[in-house]
Amino acid sequence: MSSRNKILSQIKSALKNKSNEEEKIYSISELNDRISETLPKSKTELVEQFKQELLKVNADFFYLNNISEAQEKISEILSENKINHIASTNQRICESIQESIEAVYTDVKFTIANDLKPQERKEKISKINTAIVYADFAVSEIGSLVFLYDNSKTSYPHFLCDYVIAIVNSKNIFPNQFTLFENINTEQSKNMVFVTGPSRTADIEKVLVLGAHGPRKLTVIAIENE
Amino acid sequence: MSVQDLNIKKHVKEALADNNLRKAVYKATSSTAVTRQNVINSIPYWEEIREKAHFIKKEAIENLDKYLELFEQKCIENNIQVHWAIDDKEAKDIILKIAKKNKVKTIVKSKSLTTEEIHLNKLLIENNIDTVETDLGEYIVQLKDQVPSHLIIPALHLSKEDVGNLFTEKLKVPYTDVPEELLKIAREKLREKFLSAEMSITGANFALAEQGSFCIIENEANAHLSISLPKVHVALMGIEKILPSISDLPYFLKILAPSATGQKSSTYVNFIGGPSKEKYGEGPEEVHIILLDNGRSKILADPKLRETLYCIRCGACLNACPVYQQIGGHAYNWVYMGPIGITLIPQYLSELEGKDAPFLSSLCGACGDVCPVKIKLPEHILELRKKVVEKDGSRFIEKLTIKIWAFVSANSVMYRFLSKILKSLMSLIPNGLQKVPGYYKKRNFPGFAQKGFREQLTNYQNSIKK
Repeated sequence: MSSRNKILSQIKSALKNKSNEEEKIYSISELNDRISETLPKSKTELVEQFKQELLKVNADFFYLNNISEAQEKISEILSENKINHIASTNQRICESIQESIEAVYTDVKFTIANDLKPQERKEKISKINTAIVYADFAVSEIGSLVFLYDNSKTSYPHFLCDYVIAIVNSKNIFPNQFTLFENINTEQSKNMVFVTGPSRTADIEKVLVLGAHGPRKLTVIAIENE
Repeated sequence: MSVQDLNIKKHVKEALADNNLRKAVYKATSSTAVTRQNVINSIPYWEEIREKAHFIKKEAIENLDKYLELFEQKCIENNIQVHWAIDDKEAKDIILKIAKKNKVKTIVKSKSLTTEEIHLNKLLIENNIDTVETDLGEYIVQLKDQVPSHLIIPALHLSKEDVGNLFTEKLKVPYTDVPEELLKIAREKLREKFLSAEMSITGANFALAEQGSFCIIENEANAHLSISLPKVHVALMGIEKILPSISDLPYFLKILAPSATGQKSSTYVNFIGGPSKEKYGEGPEEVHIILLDNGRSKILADPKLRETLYCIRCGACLNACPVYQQIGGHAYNWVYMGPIGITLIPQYLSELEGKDAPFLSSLCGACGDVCPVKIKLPEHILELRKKVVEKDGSRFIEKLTIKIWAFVSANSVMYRFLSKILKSLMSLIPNGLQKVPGYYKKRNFPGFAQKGFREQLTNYQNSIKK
């Protein structure tokens, strides 16, 4: 008998004795009501909650009106931090930011991960300090960003660069993970990642240190209108 | 067949004699317990979520065969290669075969207790495969040739000075005990490994039956780099890690991080639903998942104790346990420690091999109070004590003492008479010599009160009447 069949038959035989623990009469709608009570009441509250949670996980946050304001803010960040090489993806918003920055800053170079073959991609991207990426969704209650591979087709800029600037459309911010999961398509959910702040560890004497194996710094820019 | 026990008593004695260890463990566990409580206070429906999570796990475990078959079928549809391993040996054989087939020279590992359970690293290193743990805590204990002492904080027993000395000795770097600097050293060394490794080995926190995908939760991004840079990804999971569907996951994401680290959410939740190279142009060409039994189906046989398979390995019961806080994880001498460990040890191994484990508890009940999936740990600890005594047989002197006590306490006149005799006898023994076998040897047995309870009660009643 194969191990598969042996394991399954052992499980079946073990489960002949059913647990007699009675499930508490449990109303899912009651729990949903309690969860709903804690949700932000307006868009302003939702964005404010997202901001506060991001600050708690050591990320920076800017809430801007449109893509041009985002481009200006990114230009400021580049000048302040003397950034001249950026890794990014070929997503529409990222390309638009690239075009506007390249038009003003001729010395800033962009490397698009999707344009490179895998081996070259990981080697090159890991040498670049800063990334500009686009998040598909966000969750205000915990300050999380959601990246779907289906859209970005890469996660190297998001993880191999030290400093990540992530843009998210404010209409894609969900109040909590329950509402988020209701809105993610099953196929897309198979390859995705949730990101809450820069990478971190407290493995040595419980001292929190940012920048474990992924980014040391994360800036989130939410834009009101694309 | 002769059975070797884990020699837990010897390890406990050694741990208790190590003051630095006790201080480090106490400091880390108590600070995590405080941050946990702070986050929980901000979640008004915490108790309801625990309850919900408990019954999702119950549904999954009570129908485990059905969900495993569904998971297998959906994984195959997603091009994930599914393997079944009845025990540690079979799991190791499968992993080695995959590594050899792909001519793997370097493996990056992301924290996985299940791979610790099967002692995987030893086998891979013996086969000349450079195998590196990439979680900082695991990397530290691997360099020190130790095993993790906590489910979540593997190097909790070591001070920053210990880590500084270790890095100087093993990595030949100048001494520093600044955590930021130590991390920087590890990050540089491990980044090279991530970029060059051909294969990664991880665990899985939750496997989603209906989707044929699984997720790995972490803070350091080492798991993400492990699953996205090498061309082969192998995940080893215990068969109990299954959830019926992705719609069940938010409840577990809600309870895991607060219970494990006192965070509202872990930094990264990675979802793997097949080899992404073909689909997206980067990431692994092959994804394998190994479903490991290794004694779990045996645990399922007891309808009450099977609840111990609901565990999501958050470590909250360790941090809350007054015994773990004093002895740390190595004293348990097995991969799972603390209150959940002492219920699993005799079940995974045997009542005889793990006979001392269920006694490493004060039965204070704190573990049951904090368990996010509401495993009734104190009840299971008592049940396992009973099983151990039934198998191992209690000692003659213990049996005799209990029989005498039962006889005496059933007769009030005799009880009073013997209490008086014992009290007089104790007062005859000089101070400092009042030792009782099995009781803590540096402390005297507490003396009897000058006046017994009945006498005190009579006096009190009389004083009220007056």
